[in-house]
Amino acid sequence: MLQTAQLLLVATTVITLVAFACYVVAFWFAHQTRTRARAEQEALVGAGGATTTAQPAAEPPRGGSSRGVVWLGSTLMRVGLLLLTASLVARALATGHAPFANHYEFAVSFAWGMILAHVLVEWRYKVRTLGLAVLPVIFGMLLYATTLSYEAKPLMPALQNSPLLTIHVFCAALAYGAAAVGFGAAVMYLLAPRVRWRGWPKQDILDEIGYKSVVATFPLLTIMIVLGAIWANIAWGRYWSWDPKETAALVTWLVYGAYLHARVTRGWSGSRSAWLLVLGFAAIIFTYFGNLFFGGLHSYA
Amino acid sequence: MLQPTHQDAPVDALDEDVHVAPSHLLHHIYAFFHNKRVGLVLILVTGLLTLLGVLAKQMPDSVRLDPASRAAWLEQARAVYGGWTGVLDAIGIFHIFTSPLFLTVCVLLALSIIACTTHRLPLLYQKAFRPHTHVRPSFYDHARLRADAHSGLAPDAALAATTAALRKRGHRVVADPGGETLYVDKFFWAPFGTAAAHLGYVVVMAGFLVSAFAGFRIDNFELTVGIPRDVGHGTGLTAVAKSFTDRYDEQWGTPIDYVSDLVVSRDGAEVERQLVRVNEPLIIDGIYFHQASFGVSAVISVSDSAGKELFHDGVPLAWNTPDERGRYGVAVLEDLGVEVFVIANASGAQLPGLEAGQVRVETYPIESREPLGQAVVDAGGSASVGELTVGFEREQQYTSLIVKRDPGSVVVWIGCALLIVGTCLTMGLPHRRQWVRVTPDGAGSRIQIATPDKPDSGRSRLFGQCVDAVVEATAATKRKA
Repeated sequence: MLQTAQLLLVATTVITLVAFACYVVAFWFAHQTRTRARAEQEALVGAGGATTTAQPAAEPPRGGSSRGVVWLGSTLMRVGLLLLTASLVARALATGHAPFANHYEFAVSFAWGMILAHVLVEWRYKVRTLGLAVLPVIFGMLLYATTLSYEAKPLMPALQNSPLLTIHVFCAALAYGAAAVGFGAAVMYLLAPRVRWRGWPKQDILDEIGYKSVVATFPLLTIMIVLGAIWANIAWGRYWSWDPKETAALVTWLVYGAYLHARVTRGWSGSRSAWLLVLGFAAIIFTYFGNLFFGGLHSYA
Repeated sequence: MLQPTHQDAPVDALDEDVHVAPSHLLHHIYAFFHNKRVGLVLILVTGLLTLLGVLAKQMPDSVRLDPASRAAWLEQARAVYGGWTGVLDAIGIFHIFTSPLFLTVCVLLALSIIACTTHRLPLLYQKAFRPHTHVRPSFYDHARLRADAHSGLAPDAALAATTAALRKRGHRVVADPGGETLYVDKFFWAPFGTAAAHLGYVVVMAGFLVSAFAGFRIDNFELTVGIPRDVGHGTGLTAVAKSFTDRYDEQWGTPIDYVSDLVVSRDGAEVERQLVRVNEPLIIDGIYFHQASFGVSAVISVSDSAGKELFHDGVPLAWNTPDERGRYGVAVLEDLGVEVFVIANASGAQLPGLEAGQVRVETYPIESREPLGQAVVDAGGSASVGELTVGFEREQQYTSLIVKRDPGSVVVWIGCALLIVGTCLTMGLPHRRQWVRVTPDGAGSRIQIATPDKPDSGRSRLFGQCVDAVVEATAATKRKA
């Protein structure tokens, strides 16, 4: 069963890579089509044929359609979500606990959260180009997960609290997934002025996606931290220990809190809030990888 | 050349009489703290200091409070931080979370949150319970989210139909006394979530304070199996570990269970018995017994020259000797002002002059390292060490518990609940406001709807649904806005 879970993880990794290639190809297709259409329009206007400007743009591009390719990429990511869900379920069945108990399992769950958030946001906002920024992050995390040992060791005593382990880490996976999409939107927002292409999503919609991602991330982070405190109080006799990982999680929470306050009370939107989203996701990555360097009570994670 | 000034005239502004009314001063302090820029800066500074606490190695409390250990720790830190070690230590970077700097920022942030919230509450109250029901007509032309429709119904009928349709959709509808405007909103109570969340943060901080100053906490409550020990702190409780078991996975060798069979009694009568595991503390009268660690102790007895027994207990051999070949523990005889060190061989190692089954006993005055005496003692035997007689019975397992009573934790949980509820309310159910204006338009009426909210996709969709409901209820036709 563990091998099955690992195979599904590898399959999802490959699928994500192929999906990303689809998005890149679709992006290139769309870019070429628009560039060609604009060139043709300009040529016709130059020849005095202004009344025919709409005609060339309406013609389908020769040799294929970006919509078909992006549909494939999008569908592949949905399939990837199903496969990774199956991988997590298979691992849970094999180990007898929720697949959130060590560094490997959280890498897979983190990737799952990102794919889920990406699929939902793409379905909701139809901003396909977001995949260009988000899929590399997802692929990176999946690839990293495949390099880790997938052997299942018994849970150490502190982790033998099934309800809190499940809810605490599940909230983290969801929050981090949403934050990854916010990060992707922020990166695209910041790149927008440098990308002189009309097919790039409007900054308004990227700003909105970034904000909505925090609307999901912040309460989930709050719940995660509170549940972690409750668990720590039961297992370690102290609800807060200033352990490196929990402290890093607090830093992340403060960054997103600052984002919300800056946005709501100071009217920060646009580049400044996009930078805060980048900072927030950097804090998440630091929180996840930090215990590799700092140890502490969360050294297993 | 300077001209002499009039004796009563002030030389400069600081020479003038300054009348500072206490109320003005308080007002300025209050204004400083409810300034949102100040709040934002304090959040970021808290985040920065917290990050420093992750990046810089932190000194354990036990080291910080012991001057010798502290000096040794700083010497080690000097290898990393070089000449900055002293400066960083002075600022409190090595114990950032108990440093005056961090605590000051936390207090300032709490004050800022309190000031911001109290400053904002009247506005929230007004928006929720005394909303402006009237807006200027130009608002309907300039709002970024607006709609305009014509209905064949008379204005009164159109207003009534609009009111009914919007109430059916779960909106609160408040009619303006002017008769032509409706104030319409949803989730008017949700903005109070922000007050709850902010209050929650302050309550959590208050809980931290209560935890620090109320109740008690024993981090290393070591129980040698079979030997009872008083909890103290006015609890009247005595605890004894009947057994301790540690289990490991056969394949991986990783720990899978630590269990203390713990009996707690009061006045000699057993009041509670439980298998205490890492996630299963024993709780009695608000006092928690948590499983923390375990090890081996040496059971010794100490008698004075008259044969009076001064000590009889297990001494946890919790520390390793510098060469890692031995492990040792200390029994402190406060009344005599003596420390009794008990040293045994570490597992798989041997100290010079110490056979398996023996311990070496050294006695020192408290706060001195001039030995009073030392001796090697066989299991079951005794020896004179200085003026004392020390008997070594056997090695025995001990379990180390955390025992605490923490009234602050209840406060923290209340704060956490407020934080979660407030955050979810604020994020999940934003206050949706719009105004509807119905004016005569020929034989029918003109219906204008507008909201000051930012027209993001979600808000636009909800606004569109609202407009559609009104249009359907009044049989109106939309005009281009």
